Amino acid sequence: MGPLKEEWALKGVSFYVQEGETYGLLGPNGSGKSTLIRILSTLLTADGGTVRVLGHTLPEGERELRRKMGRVSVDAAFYKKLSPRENLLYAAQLYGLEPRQAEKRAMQILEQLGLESRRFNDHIEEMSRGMQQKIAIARALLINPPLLLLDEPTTGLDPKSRRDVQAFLEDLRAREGTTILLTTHDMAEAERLSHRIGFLAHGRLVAEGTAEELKRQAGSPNLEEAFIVLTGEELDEEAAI
Amino acid sequence: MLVLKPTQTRLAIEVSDLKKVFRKRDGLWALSRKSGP
Repeated sequence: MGPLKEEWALKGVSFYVQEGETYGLLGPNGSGKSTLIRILSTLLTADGGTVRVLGHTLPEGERELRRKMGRVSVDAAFYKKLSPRENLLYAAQLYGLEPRQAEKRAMQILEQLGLESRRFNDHIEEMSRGMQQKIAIARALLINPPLLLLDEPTTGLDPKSRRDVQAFLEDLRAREGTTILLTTHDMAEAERLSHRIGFLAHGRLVAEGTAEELKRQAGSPNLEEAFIVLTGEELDEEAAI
Repeated sequence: MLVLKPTQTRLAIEVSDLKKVFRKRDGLWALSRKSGP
């Protein structure tokens, strides 16, 4: 048996997100973005440091937290032989929601996201990635969570779907005051949606601030250049693993 | 630029000195409960 090799995905990250704030995490593949989101969403346990989400310390408060938070990953898992309607109703049952109310809410969200109602009963496997991602967002919002964790919610989407999702998130924040933590490769998206942005590289948060503050700090005209100056790295466009 | 309303000062997420390590042996992830990648 060979030696045990260690790979540190997160090397001492500290940050906070205020209620009602949208915080964008930017970083190349392997920077630790998804690991961070997975810890916050109780799918992984940390090996050091402290995490408090919506007043719950993790991992002790994970059961309570799961009922209050929505999460969307870059490649959402569904029962692909079932329809969006069936998938959402199943999730609603797991949350203990009343089926009729849950269905009404799910359909409302899907319509707001631009999904045509005639597709609600098609198999998910027949749908584009853009549509599937919209269904994943609707599922995360079934419980109207005060916190939404979004791991690259628009990666791989066509421009129209990307705009639909971004507009929906802006509207959601304005309407409900939802706190949003999102990771993205898309500088324009981070700048459009985020109050503050953190640059993550090699498991460390190397800079954070508003888009304007980061550009000023780096002496760069745009966020992409600021990222390169402050992290010494370029963002690539491939989907994260 | 987006600006938060001054009344919104409570914290939804507080993370301090967060660390996570993944372990591999012979090219395979050494898994324990919720410790995998």
